[in-house]
Amino acid sequence: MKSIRFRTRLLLSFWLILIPALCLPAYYIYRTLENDIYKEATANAFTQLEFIHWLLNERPAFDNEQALDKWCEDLGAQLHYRITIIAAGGRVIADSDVNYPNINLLDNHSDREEIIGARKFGQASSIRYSFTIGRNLIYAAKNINTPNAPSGVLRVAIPLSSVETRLAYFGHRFWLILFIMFILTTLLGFFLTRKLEAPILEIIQTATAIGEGKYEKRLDMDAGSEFARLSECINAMTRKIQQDIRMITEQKQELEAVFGGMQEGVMLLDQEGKIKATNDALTWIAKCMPSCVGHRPMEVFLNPEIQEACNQVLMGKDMIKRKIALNNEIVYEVNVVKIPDGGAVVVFHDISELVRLEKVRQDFVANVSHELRTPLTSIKGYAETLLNEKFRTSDQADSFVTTIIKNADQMSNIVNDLLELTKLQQQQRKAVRLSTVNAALCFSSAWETVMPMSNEKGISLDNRLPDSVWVTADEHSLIQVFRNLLDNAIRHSPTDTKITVFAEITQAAATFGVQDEGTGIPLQHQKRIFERFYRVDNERSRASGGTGLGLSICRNAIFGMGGKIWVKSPPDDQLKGSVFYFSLNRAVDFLT
Amino acid sequence: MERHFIKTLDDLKMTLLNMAALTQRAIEKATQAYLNRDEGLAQAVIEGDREVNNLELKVDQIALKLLALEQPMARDLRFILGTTKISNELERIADQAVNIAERTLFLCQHPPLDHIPAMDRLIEVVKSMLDTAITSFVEENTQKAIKLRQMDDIADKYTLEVLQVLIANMVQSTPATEKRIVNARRSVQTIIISRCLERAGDLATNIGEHVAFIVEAINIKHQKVDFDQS
Repeated sequence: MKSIRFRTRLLLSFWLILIPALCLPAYYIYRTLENDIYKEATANAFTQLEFIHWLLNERPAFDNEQALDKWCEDLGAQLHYRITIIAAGGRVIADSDVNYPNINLLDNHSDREEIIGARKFGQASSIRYSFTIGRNLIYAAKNINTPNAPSGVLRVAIPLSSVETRLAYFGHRFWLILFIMFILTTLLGFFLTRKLEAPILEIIQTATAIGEGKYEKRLDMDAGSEFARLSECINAMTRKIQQDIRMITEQKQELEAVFGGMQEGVMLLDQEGKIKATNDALTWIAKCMPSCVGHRPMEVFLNPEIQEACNQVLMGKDMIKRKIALNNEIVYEVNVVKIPDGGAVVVFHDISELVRLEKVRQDFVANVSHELRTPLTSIKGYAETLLNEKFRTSDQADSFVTTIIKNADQMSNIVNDLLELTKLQQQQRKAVRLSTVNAALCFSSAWETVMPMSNEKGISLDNRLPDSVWVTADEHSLIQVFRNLLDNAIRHSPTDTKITVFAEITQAAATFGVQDEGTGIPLQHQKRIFERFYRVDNERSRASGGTGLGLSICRNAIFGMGGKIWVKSPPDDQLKGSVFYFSLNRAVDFLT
Repeated sequence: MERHFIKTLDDLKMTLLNMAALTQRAIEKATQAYLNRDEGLAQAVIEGDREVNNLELKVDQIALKLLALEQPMARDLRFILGTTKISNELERIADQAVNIAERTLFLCQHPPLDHIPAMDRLIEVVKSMLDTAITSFVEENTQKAIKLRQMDDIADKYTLEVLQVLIANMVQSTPATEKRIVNARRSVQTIIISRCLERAGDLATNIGEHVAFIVEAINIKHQKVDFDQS
């Protein structure tokens, strides 16, 4: 499209130069020529006039006007032009082209230009169109002063046709030349533009390809051409762009790697508050698959506080820090920071572990003091009573002392358990010495220790363990785990129920389950029951005599042996009760 | 003009999402309060309801303004109508949360009932229904909207289960009159809570239907839907 327009422009400019260059001189030459021809024709007319005048002078006088006219007719037939003699009054007295009888029919010629001129100056000429003959004529007139003829004016009229033919010929030639020049310039323009177009098209193609991202494309042109420098420039430019893009891509990849590797969720907001980019961690936090780009934080997190913080930063605040809980339990420290181009960066830092630890620590301190104070209060109360003389000898004294001892035992149990727990946690750090242990035997010895309690409540055991289950464990710890789980099961079961123990054995691991028919554990407590002193229901479980450390010890012991422990309440296909599972690595079954 | 329209439409969506977030939080808090017997949290739910109500008014106001001034067409029109309906449902869900909180306040005055596992499951299902409903709106996902009906059936099943457990509990409770009355009271209140949750689930299902209306201009209300599609 553009190349055509360029071609037209070139052609037009050719023509614009050509027309004045040809026409002006042509016009000038035409004028001069025309002038010269007319001058020459006039001079010729005068010569003829002089000649006729001489003839008139030389011959004898005419008898009458008819003889004069006859002479004129003869002369005119010889010379091929019109000869007229006009009397002083303007009346034509002789004319070569008109017969004598008709001569009186001619107009009075006194108003003719050449006649007036001749009367005034002796001789004159004029070029006019003659209606009588029907063509352009040159008239030349002269006063005659001879005795041979009546005085008046002699006039000759020579046709201009020869002059005009010459001029017309010149004019035709001129138009032909102009036409040829037009064709030539058109062809030349076409050829030139074609010559120009080819490299331009090539440059256009290459530039388009570069624009589309094919940066490896290069222009290859003859060094001699005018476009060589342009093509060099384009190649240099492309090389630079390619380099820059490679550098930018590398930087972007590095940045993406950094972003992708970050634990913190990061998202970028544009000026309108829509998400422009995120890292993988954020995708996990927001659970927006496959992408949250193009949405607002509100749509992604459904959290008014985050949206509010983002809005404030977009409105002009520099930075906002908020502690926000998402998905119910995960607490994030959310930092919203303004960036110079008007958007914002939002960083999500998971601090729920910190928050949880803080809470566990606070609970632990509160709980441990509470656990120790309860028996201590009781001991102190009874001891003070015993100080009183009156009671010291009474029958109640024995029961008081028994209570004191019971409470002291409880306290010592707690302290023992705490020590045990601390030991386990230290062991965990060191790596426990594990050996191959028969879990079934460990269970039996644990059951023996809790048998008195179970008998008391009429609880029966359904032991579905195989005779030997070889696992990698520490024997003492495993017995303790079983004992604690059984202890819990018995304490939380109503009387006359059943405790079931079973194992699911796979290639690599053995999973043990201890199931009771007790009250069960509400869902929201299930995650925390393995914490120290965490109690589902304070009154009830303390009344049942636990230290609040049993499950915590179990967890630490199982962790130390490389296993896992978890709870399901109620068990599958049951409405009541709970089942505690723990898994241990299986030992090589070399005995069977 | 066009730009202004789009901005206002966006504003409408943001307000509705704000409302959805607060409603979801209200249900979350109310059920937490019930499970943990947390009076303070229950009180917070009751106080927080006013904000949801205000947002409902704001949604209606923006929607009316858009309808009156912009003559929206096709999808925009459905979106505006849909948001007013959804905001209505959300407001009622928030009211159910307040109901639960009020029952919880009563229950906190009495000793706890035995743990009812079906109730835990009911709460989980209803919460995930509400979550699904809101996500279906955000993602404009009709499949999720249709899925809500299946979840509703599950919620109904658990509600029935809770009812059975509590009736059995009332029938079997101790003969002493005083305790029996207390037991009946807390059981009935708990049954009401389960009803509220079931209602909230129904309303979430309605939201899904409105989403289907907005996105695909189809009405899946009161119709059997072939679940195999999903």
